[in-house]
Amino acid sequence: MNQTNGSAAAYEIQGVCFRYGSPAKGGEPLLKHVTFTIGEGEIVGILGPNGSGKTTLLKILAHLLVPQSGRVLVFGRELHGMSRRDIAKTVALVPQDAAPVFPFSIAEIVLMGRFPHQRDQRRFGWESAHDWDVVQQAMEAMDVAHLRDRLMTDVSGGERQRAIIARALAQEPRVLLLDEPTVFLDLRHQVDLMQRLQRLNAEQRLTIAVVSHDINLVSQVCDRIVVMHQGRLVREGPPEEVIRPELFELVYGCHVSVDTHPHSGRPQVSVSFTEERTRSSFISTYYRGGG
Amino acid sequence: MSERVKNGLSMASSPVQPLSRTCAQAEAQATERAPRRHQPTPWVGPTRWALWMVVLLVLSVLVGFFCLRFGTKAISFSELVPLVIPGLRSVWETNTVDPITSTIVWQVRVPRIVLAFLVGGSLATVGGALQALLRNPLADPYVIGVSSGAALGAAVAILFGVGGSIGGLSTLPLCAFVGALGSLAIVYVLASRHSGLSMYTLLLAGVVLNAILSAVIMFLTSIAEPSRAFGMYAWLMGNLTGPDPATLGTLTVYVAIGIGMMVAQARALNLLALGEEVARSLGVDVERVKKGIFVSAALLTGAVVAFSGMIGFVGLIVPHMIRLAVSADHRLLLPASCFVGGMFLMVADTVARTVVSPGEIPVGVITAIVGGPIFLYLLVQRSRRSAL
Repeated sequence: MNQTNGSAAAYEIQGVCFRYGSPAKGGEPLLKHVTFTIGEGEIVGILGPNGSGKTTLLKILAHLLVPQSGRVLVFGRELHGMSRRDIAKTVALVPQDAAPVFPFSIAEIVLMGRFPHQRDQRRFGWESAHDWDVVQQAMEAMDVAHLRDRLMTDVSGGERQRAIIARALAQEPRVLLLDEPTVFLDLRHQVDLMQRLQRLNAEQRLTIAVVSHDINLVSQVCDRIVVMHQGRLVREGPPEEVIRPELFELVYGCHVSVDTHPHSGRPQVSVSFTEERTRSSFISTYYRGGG
Repeated sequence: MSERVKNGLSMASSPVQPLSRTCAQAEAQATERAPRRHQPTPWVGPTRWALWMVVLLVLSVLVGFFCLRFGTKAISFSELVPLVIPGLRSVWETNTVDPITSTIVWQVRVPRIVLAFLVGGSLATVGGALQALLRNPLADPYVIGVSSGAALGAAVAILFGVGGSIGGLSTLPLCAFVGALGSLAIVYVLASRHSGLSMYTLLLAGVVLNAILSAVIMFLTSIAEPSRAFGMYAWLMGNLTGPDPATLGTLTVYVAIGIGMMVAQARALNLLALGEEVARSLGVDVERVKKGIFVSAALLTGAVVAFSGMIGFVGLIVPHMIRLAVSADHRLLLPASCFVGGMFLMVADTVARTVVSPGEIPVGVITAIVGGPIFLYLLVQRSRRSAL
């Protein structure tokens, strides 16, 4: 519905190429002419095998990496011309979970999300009452308000992840970028996290881009899916159009079958570990071309 | 019969259940809303900060005063109080102040204790800031070789008598500053190369750098005149004797600038402690903050090493204690480390000059005996945790 009305685009990524180091040193490009749009209020999933450039793409969206060519626009403004603080007020990145080194409390972690909003560096930048309100709301949205005095080093992986997302929400961003948010979570926490994100998307019109390996979770939650393969964008569209066996055969190089989820009607992927003999019959049943 | 009982039970419980649920909901809502009413919460913020600072300042003064008592000649409090606070002489009913005692206190002990405070405070603050910058809770200017770099710079200045002074400033701290900056740069490049392994790579790089720099210093000492070489040895082990007021004044200026620069970056350091990319994505100008911390760390280490030699592990233990006892927030951590580090070294130095009185042990020996085992304990604990 709102995926292509130009002005409402949260992100316009136009012909982005990226490589580490110089071409002279033979650095293989990680992204090759990637072009797509993220509409405001959309939830977009970025799928693709390891090393396909998903995380690189996310870092470019957060301006942690700068592409050699191509343009990235956020709500019509070129990312390259914006100050770090302005970017941080618009876009919040939730990186992959890393083990905490220092014993900050949950509240201290979430408060750090207010950094881009605090202009007064002179007086040590103590947080204002407004900052505390935003932080409290962020902690409640991620259900960590009751853990505010607990240390990051002492809580579970799921709680830590929610605290990191709460920190991102405390930035009051318009776009939330998540890098494999569910990778260390059990099933219940995966579902809980995704429901919370959907709620934020519905209530605050928060645009969300999520990199994940969990095809089924992405299929359930996302409005649109972008599939990366060897640095190129190979397919984008709604889950029903993108999640096809032949595409996953090409991208992941393994055989999957796709059916529909009994409740949501969204496509659902299952992998088959069958022997060659049965697999060939399976392929002939499900695949057009084979491989 | 049993049917009826079941029925009765279910009938009895059915109207109760929704009621109790609403009660629980109301309670949950109330507890959820309660903290929102008293915003901002007082436990992080300027009030708590100021309270800690006052407490630590008072404590530092008391500890310093207590340390004045000890030494080759023990001075009782009844002598000490009227000496230090002239206003209390009438209260204490002693109008006569022993001139020798007065000289010992004012010419020897007070400068020494002030020096110990400045040195300890600087080392602890540098330790705290480097730990955040390198994301390594075991970093310490001594352990990672920054102190050795400063010592080499200072040794070159002492042995070759470089310059003397440039524009009124002694070249000794300047040479030590250059040495500290150089070794910090080497260690940082080594550590950031292998970002995944940085924790142990960093410590290993520090150990090797220490070994190389010590070898160079030893070489310089062995080719120097014997009288100078002896002085070098005494200084290298950590020595807080006999600073004159001018020296103390210079050091105070260096320390104030260095600690000021660090504390000004405290909020950015909080974010840097979570990782460089996180800090950048939250709007921190990472390169600028890093440069500021590098320069101030080298400034403080250089100044401190030039005046007092190699004193290790203060920068490791103190920030660690503060994180456990107070907070990991660098706005509080850095100044608190400064006070506690100062107190720690005042006490360590008092021990150093009393246990074998009238002789004295280099204070670096005391801090290493106390700090070394703590370092090893933390190292084992960390590696065990990461192995799990």
